[in-house]
Amino acid sequence: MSLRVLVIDDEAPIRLLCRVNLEAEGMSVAEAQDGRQGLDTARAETPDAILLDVMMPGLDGWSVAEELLANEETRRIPIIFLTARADIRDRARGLGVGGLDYITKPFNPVELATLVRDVVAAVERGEREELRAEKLSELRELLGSA
Amino acid sequence: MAEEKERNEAILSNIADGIVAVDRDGAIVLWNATAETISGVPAEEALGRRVSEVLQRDLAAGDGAPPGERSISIQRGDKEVWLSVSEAVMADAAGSVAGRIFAFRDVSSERLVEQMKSDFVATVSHELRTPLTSIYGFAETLMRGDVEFSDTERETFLAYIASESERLINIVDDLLSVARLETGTLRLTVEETDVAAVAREVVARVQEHADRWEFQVDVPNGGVVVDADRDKLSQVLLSLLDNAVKFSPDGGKVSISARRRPDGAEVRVTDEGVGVPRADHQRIFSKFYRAENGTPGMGGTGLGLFLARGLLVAMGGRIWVESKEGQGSTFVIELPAASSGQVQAPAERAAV
Repeated sequence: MSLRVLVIDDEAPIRLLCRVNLEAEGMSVAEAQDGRQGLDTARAETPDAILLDVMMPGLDGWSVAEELLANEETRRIPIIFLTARADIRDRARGLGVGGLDYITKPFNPVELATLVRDVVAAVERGEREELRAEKLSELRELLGSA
Repeated sequence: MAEEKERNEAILSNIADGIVAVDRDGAIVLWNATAETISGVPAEEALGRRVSEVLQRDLAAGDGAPPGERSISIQRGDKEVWLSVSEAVMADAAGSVAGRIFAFRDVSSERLVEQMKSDFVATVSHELRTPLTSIYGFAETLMRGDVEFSDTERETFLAYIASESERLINIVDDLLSVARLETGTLRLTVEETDVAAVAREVVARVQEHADRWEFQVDVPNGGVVVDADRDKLSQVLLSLLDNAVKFSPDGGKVSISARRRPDGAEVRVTDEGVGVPRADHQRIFSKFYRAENGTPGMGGTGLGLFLARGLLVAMGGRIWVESKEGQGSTFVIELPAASSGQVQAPAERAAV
């Protein structure tokens, strides 16, 4: 069955970029242009994964993630941050609020589908916490070498 | 001996650094005038007490701390003040601590500038990464060997590469202009320029990516000719129209009008957006200023209006805002008349 991905980003070209590359790999894509719309779509469609921007007008990505994870209907949906905030503290915050991966812009969209598939597969195997721990330890290594 | 003590006290009380001395028990024995100013605590309140009681924190570095200046913060009323502190330990003949002297400066403003610089670097990095994502991303997408895109799709991707490249160029131009304004090396090519024509062009550009807004251009026939650098004027108007769109998130009308004035021209850019609080009417033109009443996450380098004012002043003009919070804003620009006098209504127009 094809994966359904929700892309929440206020930049139209970036939503399109995600859409064409995920659809090219057989996934189906829903889009939301701000945080509020993203929450509504996530509740209505319960996608298999969410690609979430951070800096958006209105509700920002951190708040969207917190609301998604606090809501019974949406808390199991894996969240992957997709953001231009490249600071290491932001990465830590992204994983801290419950994101399972953190992609900094610019990114290669051709690799996006593989990444989404891997995260969804890990969650389906019940390895959500292991995945987060792995990402956090990667981050700690980065912090150590910084 | 008494004379020497008096002389030392006179020096210490007039020195530009805050100087505090404590005895072997930690009781304050000296609290000079600068220490009073920086901390907001008068000497009579401080003398005889411990530093930690007076400032709610200690100035001493503690055992094993590295030597040299340290930065610490204290509260002065409801304000946080940052101090750069150095410390000297006085020993008695037996080698035990007989007292300590602390010298400190208020470095709050330096710290604020550093913080603004660091925020600016983070903001610029974000602003550059966003268009780069589209340029790099669509280029990679077009190079996919496994997908056959239609002509329409390819055109859309290429159009995004072009428009996002333009966005990147604008940011880089802004950064360069700021640097040049500050070093006094900005070059202007001032020539007779029709403000009305520039306004129409800029509106057409902004309209391309802002279809939720209604744009209105109100300029007299025959144009409004001023002495200005056409590209810089275009940069200023673009920045004002982008702001108008950005700060009216629910859409609405954005209008630009140009009028001839006896000594020049006046351009007004009006939106129906969130407005500018009275207290910020000057501040919005300062460098790195970013609106707090805008929605969080809104882009922008915080240079747009700073640059707009700098460019207009360099062209002999000025800019101000007329606005109330929640009731939209009007940015007004004044530019000097063209030296040829063409800013006056052309004869055919005056006869109508």
